[in-house]
Amino acid sequence: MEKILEVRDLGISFHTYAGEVEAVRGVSFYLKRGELLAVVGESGCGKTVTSKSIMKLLPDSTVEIKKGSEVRFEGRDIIKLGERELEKVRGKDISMIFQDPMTSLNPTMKIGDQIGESLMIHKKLSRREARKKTLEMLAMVNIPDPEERIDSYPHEFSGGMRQRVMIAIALSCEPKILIADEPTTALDVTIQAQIMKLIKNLQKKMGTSVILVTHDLGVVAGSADRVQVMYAGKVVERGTTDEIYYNPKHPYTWALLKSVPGAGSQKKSELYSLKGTPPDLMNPPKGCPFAARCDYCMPVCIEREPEETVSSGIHGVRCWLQHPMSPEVKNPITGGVR
Amino acid sequence: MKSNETDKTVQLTPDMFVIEGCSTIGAEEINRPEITYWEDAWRRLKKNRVAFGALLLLIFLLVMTATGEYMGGYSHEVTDSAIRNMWPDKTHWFGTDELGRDLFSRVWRGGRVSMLMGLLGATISTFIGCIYGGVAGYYGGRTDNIMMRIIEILTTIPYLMVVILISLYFGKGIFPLILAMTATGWCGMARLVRGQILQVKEQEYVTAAIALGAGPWRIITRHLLTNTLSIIIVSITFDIPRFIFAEAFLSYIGLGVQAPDTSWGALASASQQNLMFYPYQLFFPALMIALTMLSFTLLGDGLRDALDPKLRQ
Amino acid sequence: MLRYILKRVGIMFLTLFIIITMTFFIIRAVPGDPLSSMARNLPEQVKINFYAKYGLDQPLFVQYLKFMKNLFMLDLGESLVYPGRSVAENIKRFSPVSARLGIQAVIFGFTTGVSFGILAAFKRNKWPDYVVMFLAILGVSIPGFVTASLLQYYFTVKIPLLPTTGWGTTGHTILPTIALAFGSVAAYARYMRANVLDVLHQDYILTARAKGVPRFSLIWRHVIRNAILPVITILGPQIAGIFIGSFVIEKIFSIPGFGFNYVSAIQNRDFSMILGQTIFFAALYITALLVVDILYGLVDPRIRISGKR
Repeated sequence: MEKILEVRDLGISFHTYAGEVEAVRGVSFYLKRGELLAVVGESGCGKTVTSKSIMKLLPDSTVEIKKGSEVRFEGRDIIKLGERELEKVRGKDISMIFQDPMTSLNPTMKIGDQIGESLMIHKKLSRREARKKTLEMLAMVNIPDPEERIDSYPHEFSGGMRQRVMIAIALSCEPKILIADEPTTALDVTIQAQIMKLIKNLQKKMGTSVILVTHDLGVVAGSADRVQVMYAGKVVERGTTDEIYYNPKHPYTWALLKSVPGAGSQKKSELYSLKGTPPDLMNPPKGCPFAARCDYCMPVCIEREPEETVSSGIHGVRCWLQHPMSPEVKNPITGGVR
Repeated sequence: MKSNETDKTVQLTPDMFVIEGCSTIGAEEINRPEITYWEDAWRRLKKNRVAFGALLLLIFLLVMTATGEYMGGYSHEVTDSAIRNMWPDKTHWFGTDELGRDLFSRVWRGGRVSMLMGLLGATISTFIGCIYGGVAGYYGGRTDNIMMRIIEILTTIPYLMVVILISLYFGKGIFPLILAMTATGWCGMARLVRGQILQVKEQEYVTAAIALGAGPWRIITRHLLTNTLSIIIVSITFDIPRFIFAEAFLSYIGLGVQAPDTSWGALASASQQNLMFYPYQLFFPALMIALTMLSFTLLGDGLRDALDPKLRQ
Repeated sequence: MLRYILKRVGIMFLTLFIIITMTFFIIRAVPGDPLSSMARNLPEQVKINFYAKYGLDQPLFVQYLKFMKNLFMLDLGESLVYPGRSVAENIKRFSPVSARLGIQAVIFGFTTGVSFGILAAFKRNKWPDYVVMFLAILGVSIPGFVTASLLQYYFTVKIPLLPTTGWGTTGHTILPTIALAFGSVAAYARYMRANVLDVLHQDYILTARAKGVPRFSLIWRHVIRNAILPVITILGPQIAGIFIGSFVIEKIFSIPGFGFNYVSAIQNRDFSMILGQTIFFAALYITALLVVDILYGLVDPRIRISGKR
């Protein structure tokens, strides 16, 4: 399966009143056709900025895309494209859905029109054809009574319903890639499961490749093919879902897994919580960004950034513990060594 | 090239690979120093050059209205038919009016009246509005409903009508002027305050405070008031020019300060007939009104931005 | 939606009723017999007849009822100063002039102001923004009568481009309309700019961009449609401002309009005229507010569907 998306050395900074915030610092990854890649990390790690920058959806005035950043969609570097050309890609080849369904829909436009808008712009359908296709989409996302609801306004829907509408909008033109930025974070737990199931189903049906951004490891376990863990603007570990869950190697990943109750930790122990806070990205540390909170921190970690070590094909880790000169460490998740 | 980029020339030695655990030193350092809401707001206001400039201009105008009258050396009411309608020159900086009175001192004396009227009107209506809105918001329910209906009806009554009716009944002068301005002017503030209180009442931190055992008085002062205060301040800053404007208008149509007292509106009105020949007579009072309104408006804009907690840095 | 309209209409009638009653009693309560100056020199019997004719010999409450009855039949009475001239006739003669001026000013003010506001928002912090904001601040700071006087001076005397005073041709309407609308243009521009900037930060605009909606459609269908809603709420008070401002503008430009007539009635102490015209004015104003409220209800789907705010 070829790579449909390749991001190389992505660097994004925000120029604020107080200074330059380096939100994304040299991130590279790829997406293969038909797979679901999960990007996890806590708030502020740069995962949302990364996902938005794929289609250059960041606010123009304060953002700087660092030289050398590349976003190759089907071979073509789309980060160099101008607005006009990007408009042809957005919604058609690549689509995106966002976190808060309550505010992500235009309150003064019927939801049918909002879905139809994409169809008319990208597929050049007429009003009638668009309406027909919209009804199909509404049925596909399991909205009851599509005939009636097509003329309703967003405020007449619940959060879960609105997110389904968002999905309908995003998938209406059968894009090759769907970027889902925390699509379930703002929803109730039961609805979360429904929405994830819907995304997975549609993915299978339409063969869409998906990038799922989330901070919830529970959501990832059931749906992702590959996972990458981000921290302070960098990818610290990546691999298949099995590799990450059953053989994680980065101390941050261990911490993440330990803090999910029941996943890899003793059932009767205290809830694990990571000490400290992420580093200030206006003044990023020169060493490993996780050093200040890491139980396994070594002098070298503060001095220099670790390079990525790849093992078993695609499992990559950025950690000095992987270096031959570092001591053997017991893996808290697997119980094995390193 | 940032200073904390990896220095690849540092050699890796075995002692660098001894596990020491996390260094929490760095983590705590990033906390920026604590400053209170008001200090932060003042800092932001100062940074806003336009608003700060407006503030300075305002202070200048206020000082002038207090003292300007005495600067020229001429009285504001002494008439002298020999020097009627003179264009501005070295002795009479703003010229003279129809009766030979020095306009410089008249403008500043009039300014005192206009400013006072504006401030007085704003203060009174803010006061009434706050109490009315506070009561409505605090009690909510039926009381609130009725009180809001009353306001709805009051705001539907055309402002000019109120003015005319009051002037018909009370005649001319300062008292009816103030009455006319404040009769319905407080409604805006009342609505604002009530809205704020209702909103704040719902806020979770109020519920939290109650849950933590805070008494009603503490809640009112610490939580409700502090948040509403910033809205009130901004509102007053926008109200004052509204009232100055209203005073100017009312004086212009003849209701308000009577001769020999004067205000900017009255001066503008008096200059109307001679406009074609002596435009300077309108120019100066009008300029002062405009500058005052301008500085209040710009200051209000700046205050609004400075006091908005969402923009806090 | 229907519920919304009915509620507004109900309040409108109630307010009107209160205003009429208030006006009636206040005018009657003003010291000074309305007819005393005219009747001063008449012999006693004639005076009694005179008073009887206008119903002024009856107790106040009876006068009120009689007045309300007449009102229902749309009879607003006669002028006290110019006997024989009915109030209604007066209104009919002068209001078309004011109406034309008012409507022109509202349309001009709204369209110009909103357009400027949109322009300023999209060219934020560039020179068009500064120019528009500067003009807007001026518009809000300079009183209407000053603008009018200045316009009159510069464009009719200094540069004799347009007629100074009077009414009759389209040329006569230009300066008064601008003077009248100047304040509203400023208000709409400021408000619209703030709203557009606000809307531009909303999540649904990001969604629309992510959909690949082309710039023009984005602005029109997503930004403006949402940004203009709150601006309609200030349409009401702005119309009020135009009503009020017209009194002064008509005086400055010597336009034979309703406002001008009203002010002279006040100066002449022509009480029945004042009463009749005040009621007309109030009714008109309230109707305008009602229309704006309904318009807002129609345009905002959230109100249209659920009937409440």
